[in-house]
Amino acid sequence: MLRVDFKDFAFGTFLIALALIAFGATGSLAIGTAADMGPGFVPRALAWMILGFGVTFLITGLAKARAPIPAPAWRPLAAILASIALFAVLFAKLGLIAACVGAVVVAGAATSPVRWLQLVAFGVVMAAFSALLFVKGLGLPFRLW
Amino acid sequence: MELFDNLALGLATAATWQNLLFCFAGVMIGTLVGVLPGISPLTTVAMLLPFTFGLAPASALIMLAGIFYGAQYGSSTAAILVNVPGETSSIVTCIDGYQMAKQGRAGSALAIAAIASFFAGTVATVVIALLSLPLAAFALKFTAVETVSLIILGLLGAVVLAHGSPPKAIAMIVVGVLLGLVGVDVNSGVPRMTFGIADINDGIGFVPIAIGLFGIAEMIHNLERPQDRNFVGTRISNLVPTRDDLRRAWPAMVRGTAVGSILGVLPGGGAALPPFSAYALEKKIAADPSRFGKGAIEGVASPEAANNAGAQTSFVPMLTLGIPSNPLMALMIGALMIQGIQPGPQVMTKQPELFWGVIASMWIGNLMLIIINLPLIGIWVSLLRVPYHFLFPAIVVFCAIGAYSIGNSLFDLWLMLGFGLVGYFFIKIGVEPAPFVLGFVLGPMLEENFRRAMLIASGDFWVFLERPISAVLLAISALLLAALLVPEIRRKREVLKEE
Repeated sequence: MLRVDFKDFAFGTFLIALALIAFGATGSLAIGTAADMGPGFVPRALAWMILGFGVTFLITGLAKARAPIPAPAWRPLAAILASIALFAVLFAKLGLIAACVGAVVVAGAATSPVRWLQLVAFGVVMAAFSALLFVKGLGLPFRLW
Repeated sequence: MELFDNLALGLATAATWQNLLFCFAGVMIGTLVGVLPGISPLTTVAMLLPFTFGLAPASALIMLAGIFYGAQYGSSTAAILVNVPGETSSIVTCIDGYQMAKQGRAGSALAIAAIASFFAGTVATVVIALLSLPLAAFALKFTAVETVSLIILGLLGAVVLAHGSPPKAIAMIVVGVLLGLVGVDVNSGVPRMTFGIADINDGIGFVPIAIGLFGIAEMIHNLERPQDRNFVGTRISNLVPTRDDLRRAWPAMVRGTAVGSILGVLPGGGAALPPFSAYALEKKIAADPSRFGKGAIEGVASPEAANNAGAQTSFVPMLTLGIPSNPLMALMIGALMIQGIQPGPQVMTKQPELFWGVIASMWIGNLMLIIINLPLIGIWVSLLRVPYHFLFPAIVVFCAIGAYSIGNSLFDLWLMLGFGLVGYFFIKIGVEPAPFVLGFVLGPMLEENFRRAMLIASGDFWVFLERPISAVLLAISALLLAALLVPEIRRKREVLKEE
């Protein structure tokens, strides 16, 4: 295996990518002069700094002793992100109650064992609670279903 | 006396029945999330921020502040009884507090922790009141030049006291500032880095970012660790501390309050660092240091006083200068902004009832905590038994509703999801997200003042060193940076963090 500090290396790569995106997005903005800055001046200056940091971390990452990135926990990661995505989709299509039940059930799949019936029941309770608190109580303009 | 007039105004504001109610709600929610490991006050404040939109500004801030210091109380309960700190601020309380509980002195430890917190809260309220007037008066004289230097000092100060590698923290600040600039440029009216997405013309939403980075990412991280809790079997019978415990705790309480008040005001201050320093101090000056770790009451009293004092005095830079010293204060700034209030020294003169009301509410809130919480300890203990696998689906739902409701925008939900993923990546590569958030909040202010300063000075960068106040602020910033490079200090900093 390579002798690479993968944490530093990954952070450096992230910063370089971000700086390049920023350069791309600010390319058409006027830079102006120091006395009369255009909208592009500060963002481009910051992007240069980020690029500098990125290159530095990339190099130090290569020079340092090997340090792996701890393996991500795929199951909670996927379940939680899917749960939020499902909430967004269901909320737009079917309203708050469906979104609450769906999000609770999918989020619950993050840990094992998954007790589906319990989760559905809990989702219904959460939906009722949210509807009462946010729509009835705080008067937020949410579609319930 | 102006001070007493101000405090009277504050008490009058804080003691209206609505504000008392919101203060009560804040400290109760705070205690709840403090007790429960896995939900930080930061996540809670971020989740609840959108719902404060409809409240009066003073009520909103009073409630959010209550969550912060209420969490310090709840956290120590979990630390003493279960040996699991609810928050980082009570990690040290575990050491001696849990030992006391094992020896059957849980009641005494809980009572001393509560008394120490109340005492520290009272002193901190006075410290805030005393410091705020001169600081704000001083800051009102600032021009764009001094403001730029002050922001730089604030950001660098946060790095010194933050966890992890300083260069990475500084890089994260710059990233935060850059992302803070996304949206239509105020001076030219040109959209910047928006990629044609209309939803971010007014800037990327702060609340979805905060909930994603802290709430969602931390939740995923929590789920990969097994949640184990060891209850102390003994019942908490007696909540009255023994005379001997009180005698020993009293001076420790005073020292802890002093440490917390000082460290809390500094940039980067908050509730996390003071208890470590206070504990180290107690151990150093104790006649018999070997008692520590075996249930020494000073090891509970001093850190508990320090974290509460630090939590409260960290409001000083936020309220008087508009500079947040930690991510939670950045959220408070966000709360002010959604109320249409520009944070800064003018808040005190333009909105005195808001300013002093929040300060007075802290003392009232602390009083509520000690009166209400000690009798309720049984309820909090039973809440400790709520398993995390029941909590987190509920947190997901509240986070989602919170992120959506800030602007009734589905885009914010996707933004929260994206930043949850990015936040998890940061956790995995060992980079702290806190400096990013501070940079993000201060970014627009930094750019605006920088451009104005350059306009006044017709493009001469030396102006920052020619103005005396600005030069001093930058000199302190340079000293902080230099201090980080000195190996001796660097090593001490690491040791302090690890202890």
